[in-house]
Amino acid sequence: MTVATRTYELAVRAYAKDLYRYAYWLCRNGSQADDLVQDALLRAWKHWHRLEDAQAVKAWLFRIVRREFLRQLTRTQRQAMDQLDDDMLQAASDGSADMADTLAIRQLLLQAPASLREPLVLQVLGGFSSAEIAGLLGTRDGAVMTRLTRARQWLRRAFGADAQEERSA
Amino acid sequence: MTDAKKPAMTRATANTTTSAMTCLDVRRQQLANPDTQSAAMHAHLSQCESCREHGERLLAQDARLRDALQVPVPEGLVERALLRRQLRSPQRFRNWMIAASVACLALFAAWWQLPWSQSRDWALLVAEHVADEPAALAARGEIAAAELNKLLHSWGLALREPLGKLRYLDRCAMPDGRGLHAVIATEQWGLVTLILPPAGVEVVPGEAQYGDFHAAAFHSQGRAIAVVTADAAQLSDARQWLETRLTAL
Repeated sequence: MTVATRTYELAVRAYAKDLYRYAYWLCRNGSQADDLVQDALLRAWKHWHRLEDAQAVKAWLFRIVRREFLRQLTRTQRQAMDQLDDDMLQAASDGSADMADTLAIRQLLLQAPASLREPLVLQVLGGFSSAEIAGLLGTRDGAVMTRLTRARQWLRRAFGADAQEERSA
Repeated sequence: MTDAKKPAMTRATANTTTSAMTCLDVRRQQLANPDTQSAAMHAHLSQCESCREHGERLLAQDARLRDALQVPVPEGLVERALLRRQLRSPQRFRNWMIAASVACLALFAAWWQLPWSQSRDWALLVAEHVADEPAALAARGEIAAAELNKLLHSWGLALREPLGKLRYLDRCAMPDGRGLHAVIATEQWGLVTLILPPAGVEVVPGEAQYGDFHAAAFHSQGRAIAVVTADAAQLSDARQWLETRLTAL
């Protein structure tokens, strides 16, 4: 087994599950996420010789998954990914859903605007810093902070928290 | 928030007139990342019960979120990924074909002067390469033509005429070695990417598309060259344009 084969195998074993979960929250479909990860990992292997910074392998693999996902979208769908949808931000503000269980939160996340859900998934699930997320999404650090803030506000409204408290701060 | 908590928060806000962070600053940071804890934040939280509770609620929310994000992973995901790589790898032939391969390759190389490098779809490879390096297209450098000429000499080529504004120039890692990657801002076609595959690799002429990028690999002056544009209609013209501006040493 070559060094490249060995390091690739280690990387797949270490990150495939996180990659699948990231892909799932990108495309919101289990079988599509599975295909996405398989294609992305094969592409990663094809370009393994270009991986110069072994420390950055996780972010690199996440980037490939995202690129594969975007490649499958139309140009219009891609543009929509980067837009904050204010109507969607308000949609969960009634807080009427029972958020006591994980399935309900998942359901809620599936409805969240992609522009908010993605940085949140990368931070909470991937453990990336806002600067790393900015690099992955091709945007600025400040824009990521704004999206993360709005994502948590959106979630809190959806969880039925008292929004009045936040306004009083 | 209950009315009972409001006075505590008001006091903390008033206290922050002498400290680095206000309640609003702290809550913004907590919302962006509840795990974050700077010295200034710590100082504020030690005085402000309301912000402390706000942070705890967000941490609890993130914990629920983290659980929810852990969707079940399909069985055999890792094994299938490794299997696909294995099936793509020529190594699967190694155990039972190595002796025959060596003998055949030696025979054919001697008789037919076949190149040793693996044949790849270089048109597709360079299109992918450009798509994978958006920073190269976004670069706004002003690189001297002499720099490009110096690198071109390594490939046995030289500039016959100036190419235009050189925005990006690098020797990139590619299959079988390092290739030349140059981005040129042209008046006719906008950004055109010139790729020279690593010296000695076998390049089969052809065209390919990957994402928004169109590439052509071809031979000119006895050298393998590839060009990438964002518009398929421009590819042929850009290729001819490059051919007229490069010459063999």
